[in-house]
Amino acid sequence: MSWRLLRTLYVCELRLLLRDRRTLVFGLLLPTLVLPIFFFLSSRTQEKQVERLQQATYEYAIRGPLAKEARRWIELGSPAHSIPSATPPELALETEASSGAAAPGLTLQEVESTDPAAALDAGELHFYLEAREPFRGAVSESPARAGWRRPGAPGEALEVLVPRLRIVFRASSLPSSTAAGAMGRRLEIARAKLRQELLDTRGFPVPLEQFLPVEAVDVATAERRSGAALGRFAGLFLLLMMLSGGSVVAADTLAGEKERGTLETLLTTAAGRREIVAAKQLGILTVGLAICAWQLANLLVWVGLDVFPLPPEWSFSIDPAVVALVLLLVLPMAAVVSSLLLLVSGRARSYREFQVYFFPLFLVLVPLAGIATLPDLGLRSAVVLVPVANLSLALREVFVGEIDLPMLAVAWLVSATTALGLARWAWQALDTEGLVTRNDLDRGDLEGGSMLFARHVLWWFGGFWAILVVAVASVPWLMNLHAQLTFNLVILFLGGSLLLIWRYRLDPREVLSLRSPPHPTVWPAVVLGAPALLVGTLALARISEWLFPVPAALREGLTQMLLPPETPFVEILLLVAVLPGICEEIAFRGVLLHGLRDRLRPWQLCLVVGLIFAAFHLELSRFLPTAFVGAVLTAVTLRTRSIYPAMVWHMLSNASALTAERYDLPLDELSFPAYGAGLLVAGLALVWIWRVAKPAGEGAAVE
Amino acid sequence: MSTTPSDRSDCAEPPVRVSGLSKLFVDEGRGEVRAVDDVSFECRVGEIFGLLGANGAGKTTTLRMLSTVLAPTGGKALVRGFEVRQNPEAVRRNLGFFSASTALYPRLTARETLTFFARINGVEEPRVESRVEELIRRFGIGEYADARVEKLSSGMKQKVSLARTVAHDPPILIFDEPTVGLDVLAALDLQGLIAELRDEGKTILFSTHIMSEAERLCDRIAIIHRGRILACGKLEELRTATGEHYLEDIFVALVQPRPASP
Repeated sequence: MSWRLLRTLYVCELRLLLRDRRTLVFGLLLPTLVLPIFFFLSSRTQEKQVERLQQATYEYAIRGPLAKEARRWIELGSPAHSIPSATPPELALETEASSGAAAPGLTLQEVESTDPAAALDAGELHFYLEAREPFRGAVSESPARAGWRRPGAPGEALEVLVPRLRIVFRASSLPSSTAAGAMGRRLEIARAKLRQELLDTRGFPVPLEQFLPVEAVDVATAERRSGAALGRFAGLFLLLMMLSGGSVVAADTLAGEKERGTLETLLTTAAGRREIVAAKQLGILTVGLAICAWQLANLLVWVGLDVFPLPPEWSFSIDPAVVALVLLLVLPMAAVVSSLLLLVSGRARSYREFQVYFFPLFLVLVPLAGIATLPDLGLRSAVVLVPVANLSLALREVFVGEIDLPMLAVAWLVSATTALGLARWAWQALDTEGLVTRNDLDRGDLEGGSMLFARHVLWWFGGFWAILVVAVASVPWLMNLHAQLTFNLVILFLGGSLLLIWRYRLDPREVLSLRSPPHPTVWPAVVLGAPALLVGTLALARISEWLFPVPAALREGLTQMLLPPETPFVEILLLVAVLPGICEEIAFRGVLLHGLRDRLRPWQLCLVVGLIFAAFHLELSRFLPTAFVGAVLTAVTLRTRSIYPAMVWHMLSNASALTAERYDLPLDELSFPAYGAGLLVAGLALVWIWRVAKPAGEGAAVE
Repeated sequence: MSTTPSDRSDCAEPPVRVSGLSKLFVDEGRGEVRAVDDVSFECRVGEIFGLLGANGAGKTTTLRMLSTVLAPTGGKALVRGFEVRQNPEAVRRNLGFFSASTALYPRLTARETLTFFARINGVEEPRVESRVEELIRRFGIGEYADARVEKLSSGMKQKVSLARTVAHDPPILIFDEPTVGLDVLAALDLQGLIAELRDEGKTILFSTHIMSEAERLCDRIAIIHRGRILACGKLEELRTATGEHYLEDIFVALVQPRPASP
């Protein structure tokens, strides 16, 4: 490494960046102005809204046979009503605080309405009350109060008449919700008053609040509480700042240089690739850290000016040792982010391509940094091995004052090593000719059609995945077996595959490997291998669930939703075993595999297709086993040059899992030796397939 | 004329020696593309060696291999004795590469550009400033030396680009279609500067698809087609070999040979 060269390149990078209006505008100016404006406007708007809601008069109506009794209850709960003498002072204070004192200007006003439901729909009422038929119960004695009927003499059993009240409101309207909430609180106060009075008259020895009192004592100092609040978001804040500034720089630094043609100029000079990459990374790192520091200072200024009001009990002292530790942790995070950005920029041939790659990177990094917002997840867990996420957790623990030095060191080393590896990968991108220069001859561009398919296939699958994610997140009716299968399997996988075959004029037989396997003994191996692999992958599933735990209730709920018990088992088998076996194989081991076949080596194909297959299942806790099975199915298809064995394997695997679920076979309770046995049998089946499906050049098939 | 590497009788050690150079692209389902196929030639001190061919003939790929941007898949290329794959940085220190696609940093001034390229190409720090001033004088860019490159006209940019190519005074210069996109006067100006550099003893590789340009500038010409060199020699030698006078006719005769008479 020539330091003189590195310095020259670095200074040039900084000079170019500082003269780039985009860096200044998007990296510094916009966040500097937008953040305070956004916070100021949102807090002002919120204040005004709360003020308006608390000063307003809300109109309601009462209907039902017991409207008169309901009015008495409402009157009893109003702040104007005197508190009964027996009510303990604590309750009196509480009722005042929760009604009148909390919203001094809020007024609930009853109006006449012949059809309250229509009036609520028309927005003429904020809510209405239904005073319906009473609950009936027996008490031995009661004071003569409104709503209480005394049919017999004192000391005899009393029949209590209590109207059943229903508050009908519209949650889509904030005034309606606010008014309904206020009425609900008023009725709760009325109930508390009555309850207390009833207990007093029955001679209950102590006030209700003194009965089984529970006191919570928070031993955390105000600094610790503030540190916990700050630490939850520190990693995320730093990441977002680094990304906002660093991405502008990164886009310009390699992708932009390729687009302008200056990268080739640079590569023909005496400067080495290593110095070029190092200088560019330092440039991104410098700008990313500078923007973080700038925005932090910006935030502190606005906090000082009270534009961002801090919580009342906020207390945070600056300890130099903690500051040093935080800086030490921020460095590898900045290094990882800058390396990733540089890598993305190195792989992109233009600004546009950089933006396409940047978005998924953003989607991956933000949840990683946001992991610190999850409670009960500490650094002393598997997360310590996940770059960015480990530093985010480490920052939270440092802010809280729980400094676990060995784990901090591991997190630091993991992220620093990752940053170095990524930088090296970016450096290799400069040795990848196709990424630096455009080849003179490009048959894909000239001929189009099937020649372009290989270049576009990943984009298409990226699009399918995005559609799937958006659909699952925003269309509730997809959480149903038939709807989900129709959408995922038929529309997206089968329809998408046919669309690509049509769009690129592909030969379906070739793309989908629609040919018989090379030897009939492939079939028994498939029949044996599929259930055995299912058992084997349960070990991976257990590891996966340990890494990404999912509450049992949630899993059970999903299973119930997707596999409703009322659906006949044969139908479930058809829908969950046969249909995926056909549609998913056509998409992944057919179209996707065909598109990637000439670009990757066989092991890379298995890995990539397996990972994409798992990504489409949108289940983090099952990612590892699904990817593994996807890779095995890819290997089977590659070796047999036929899609049918993978289809049958897939169907049998799903059918085995369903059968186990149906008949409560304790697959989850199997021990690791059982998993090992499953893997062994599956391995033997694969070895058999490998042997009998040898290509022509590798010797004769086993007879 | 010769279709093999030229004889070395008039030059002891050619600064550029290429033998059996090949470049095979294997890319995204396109299969194999043999962009350069067993190309051999030598360039001598003080000559302009022209690579003449149509678009996509393999000129740029050959020159990119010589400048170490691309790695050859076969053969050998030596630049002042340094092999392009084994000593890429030493090779680049000895050459200056200029092409229509090698752009300048738009946000640097002409002076900053020259200073930057002088430094990264290894000019000693005490000499950088004087070298930059020398280049500014030599290429007549004094008037706009402190203007940002993005503000300059195409002709001015070409001069700055040429100046940055020779910033470290390399013995070998590669010009890949340098006049593409220039108007006639700017192109003639650039050709004049290249000829001056040749007269100063530089070894120059010059690729073009413009016949008149090759005819006017090149001391020897290699005609390249579909990745292979079809003929190489002085213009007179090419005329003799093909029986054609104009370079355009010579090119057509070599690229599309008439069937032999019965």
